[in-house]
Amino acid sequence: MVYGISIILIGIGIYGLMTQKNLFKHIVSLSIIDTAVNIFIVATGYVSNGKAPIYTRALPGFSPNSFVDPLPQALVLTAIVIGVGTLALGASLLVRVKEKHSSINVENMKGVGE
Amino acid sequence: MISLLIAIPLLLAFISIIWRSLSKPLFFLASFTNIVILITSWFPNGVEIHAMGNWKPPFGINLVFDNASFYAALVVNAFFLLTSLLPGLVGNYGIPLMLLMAAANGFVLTGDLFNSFVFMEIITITAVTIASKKENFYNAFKYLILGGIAGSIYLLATIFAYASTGSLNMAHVSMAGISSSSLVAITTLYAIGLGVEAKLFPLNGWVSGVYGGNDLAPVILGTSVSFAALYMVGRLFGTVFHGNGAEVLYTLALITIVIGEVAALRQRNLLKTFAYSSVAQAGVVVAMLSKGTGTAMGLAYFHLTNDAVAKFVIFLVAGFLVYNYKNLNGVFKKHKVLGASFSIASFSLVGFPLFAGFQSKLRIIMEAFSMKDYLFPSVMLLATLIEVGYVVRWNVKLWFEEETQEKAETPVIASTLALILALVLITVFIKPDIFLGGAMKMGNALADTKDYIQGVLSVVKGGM
Repeated sequence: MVYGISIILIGIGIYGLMTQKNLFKHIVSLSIIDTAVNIFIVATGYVSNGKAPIYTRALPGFSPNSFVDPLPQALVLTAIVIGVGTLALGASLLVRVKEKHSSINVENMKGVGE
Repeated sequence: MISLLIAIPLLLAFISIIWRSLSKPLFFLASFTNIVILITSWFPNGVEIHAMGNWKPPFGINLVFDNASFYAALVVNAFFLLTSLLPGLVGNYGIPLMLLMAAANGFVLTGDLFNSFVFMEIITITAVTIASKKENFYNAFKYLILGGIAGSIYLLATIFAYASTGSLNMAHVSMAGISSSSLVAITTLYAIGLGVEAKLFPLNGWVSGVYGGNDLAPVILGTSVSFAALYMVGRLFGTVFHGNGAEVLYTLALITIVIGEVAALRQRNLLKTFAYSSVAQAGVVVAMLSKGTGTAMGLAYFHLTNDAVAKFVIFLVAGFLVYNYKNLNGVFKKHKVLGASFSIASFSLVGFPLFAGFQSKLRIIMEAFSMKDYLFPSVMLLATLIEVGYVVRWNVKLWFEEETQEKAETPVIASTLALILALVLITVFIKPDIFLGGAMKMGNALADTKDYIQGVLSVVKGGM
């Protein structure tokens, strides 16, 4: 189910990149793909009725078998940070594109092309 | 010691944010120190690992230093050192260049799949910053979008590998073996993820815009970063996947060669012509890498080294010409040294005898024939014919056509560097072992999966 959602979101992102003329929407599409991949990663570590992966005997019914895999969550944290960096750079580039070409719509940009 | 290759440029990059005026000397210092570190540990002839925080593999992140990563790091850092000698070219971009250097070193040295994703994203972000020099914002933006998607897909592939084997350590993944049901998905996703940086068709749409947009981007992205990306192709498909999924790479590589050369022939812009030529050469290297044997991979990296040296000269000269002259007809009459270096480098690219490219192309064709592959040599010979076309056309245009403009000031350091590298290309023709020896060691280290797994998982040498 969750995997389905993330695959649909990746599809939406790629569709957006291929059809949209406004460059800002390309950033949005990229961000959707990023999010979809992150959802996918978190879903791979999911265990139904799982426990927090803390190694302790203090909790009743302790068993390492019901642990949720913590590694995908750590990876997603890193991936989110990188995604933010990419988005910030993209947005700042778009500001300069707007200044130089007077528009961020591919059809109205001046001075682009061979 | 080896972690210093990443730590030094990173540290100096942060220092130069505070003292901006120092960024150029610090960039030189960083690349010089890295080269010194590499020279003191010349060809380890075995596998050394540096386990971060002393977490023994397969846990934690470890850097792997063997013949393959040594040679790749040497080439990568050498081009950064050469670039740092050209203060006019570096301009205000010392900090992104240092970060790019840290990331490229990390990408080459890491033995962890997720860590390589992080370094690849840093490479993309810094490379985009460098690509935006000279107000080349729109092309840089397109590169960022493509690089961002490639990063996401690379991450997806990494997660598939983790789900399939339960590990992110390259040696451990290689040992556990990926189940055949997910193998196709993983190799295809990695091919797409690496395809953007490795300039594979159809993901190389950014190359002409970024390389043709300013003078710094092609010099550093076309040499160091290409080498790092293509090293990772060899490491993943050769070592980690045992040559599985190479058919995808082989097919894409052949298409890349043909499309790249045809696009180069049609191009009227000097920088963009050689940008497309660099795409085609990447295709040749990937086609050779997909063969999977030690010799084939060694020859691929030999060819890549020759190509990178030639491309450094070509892009250096071309960048100077394009941004100092409106009309390029006959400019070499005013700049004879630059012209001679450019001609030597471009002839080496084609593979005329007397230049380094001949040695690598001949060996590649012979190796392909000996493996009973007739398609790749014929594509490569066709590509060479097209190369002759545009290289001769540009040389004639730049040397012999009627000159019209006043002479621009000759850049002394750039011409000296270009001339020295051009002479290196001739020396390599006479003594191919200069590059071939190291490249063969690299190829054999990449193909020797068993040694790699054993080296990483059993020996721990040094912590941080």
